[in-house]
Amino acid sequence: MMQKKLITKSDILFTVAIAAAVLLVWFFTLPRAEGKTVVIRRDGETIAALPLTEDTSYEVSGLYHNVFEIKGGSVRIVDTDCPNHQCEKTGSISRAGEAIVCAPNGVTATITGGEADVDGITGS
Amino acid sequence: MKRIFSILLAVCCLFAFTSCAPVQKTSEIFAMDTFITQTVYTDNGDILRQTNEITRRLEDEMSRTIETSDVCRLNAAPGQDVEISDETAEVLKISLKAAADTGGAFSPALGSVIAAWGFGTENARVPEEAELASALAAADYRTVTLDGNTANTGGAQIDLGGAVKGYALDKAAENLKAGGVKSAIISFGGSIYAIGKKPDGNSYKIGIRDPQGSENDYMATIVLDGKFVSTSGTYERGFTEDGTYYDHVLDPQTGYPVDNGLVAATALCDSGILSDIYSTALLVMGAEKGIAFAEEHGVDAFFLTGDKQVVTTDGFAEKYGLTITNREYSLG
Repeated sequence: MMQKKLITKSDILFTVAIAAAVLLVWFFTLPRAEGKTVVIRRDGETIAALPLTEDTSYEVSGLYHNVFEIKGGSVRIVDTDCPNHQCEKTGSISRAGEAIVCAPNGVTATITGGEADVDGITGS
Repeated sequence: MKRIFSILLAVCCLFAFTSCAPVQKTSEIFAMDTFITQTVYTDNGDILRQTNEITRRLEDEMSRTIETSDVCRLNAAPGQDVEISDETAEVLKISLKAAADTGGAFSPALGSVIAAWGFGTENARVPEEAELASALAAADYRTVTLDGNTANTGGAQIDLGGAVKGYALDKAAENLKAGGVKSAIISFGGSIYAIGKKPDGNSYKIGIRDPQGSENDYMATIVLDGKFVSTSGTYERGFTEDGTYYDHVLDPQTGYPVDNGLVAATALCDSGILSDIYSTALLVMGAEKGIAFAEEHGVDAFFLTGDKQVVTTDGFAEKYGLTITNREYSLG
């Protein structure tokens, strides 16, 4: 009498197929490691999200005007008519978590994507 | 039959791999004359909006520039009894107690002196000596009385700018915790609190601003585990006149900007409002007195001197994993 095999070839194939399906689903639901993006907000609302890899300039109008320039993987304010020019003095930013803030205009530019070195900075 | 087991196993694996962790939600707003950010891991986006509503309400109650605020109504009625909100009363009460505890190194009644210097306006300037002397004479926190929700300034001008951001941070933390948030970091103009650990299991790490650099530069990092942190520095919101820099942190005793060799003081404690108040008081006290005060009051403190020395309370470096990242600075 032929002994029935405990595991048949088709069982192995079936298991491999199921495992492959699981891995595929898992892979596609992983959070994407995004490239660095500068997110520009006015009064808390996102008005632009621009990749740091593409050189460009972007103007934000509001109470005042801020002109952002993205160049060589970093972003800075190249022109502003706000009263204190603090945003211009911040200079270039390129690391995740860094921000340029123009309080008079209610505008912020924050770099997202990638691992930030610190989760915040305490200062006055 | 066997196949049913393998399918069940596969489904289990899928759930394990793609389990629904709370997602990161962020908010950035301007309020209280500063930049307020929240990074919160939650499924409930409303909770960030609630925090912002609380913040704006507190600003409306305690702003020095919004005419209908409790503070403006108090200042417009010198020597008269004024009804104020529960929250303003609480901030005023804590501030008055802190003023006494710090021997006047912190004062919630410096409005007249701040106005004499013009800090917070476009017309900041060095006041005439006589003008400053009369402003200072009118700035005694001991003339302020508080009975329940009834306050009387006794003629002083109230300014809660050194306490309200920390108080708002307390309220924001309460709001997030009540909403079941297990991981978040919130910053109110550089006063920071973190709930729990990051989703990757690491503690939240923050930088201490480098006074010589921009807003994004830090000179050291610490790990924030359950404490509120605030920093006061001489490097912001000052002005230069005739080649001399005047910073905005005023010594309540002299009415002049602090000039004691420190450029910044960082305070860590279990309350946002106290860390905010103490960071200012410690900067005014100077390193030596500040250390003694902090150790007596269970506050962990970190000082930066103008010649890039770091001074801390006992055991600070071990407790917070202090790492000096800018080699120009050294632990004194």
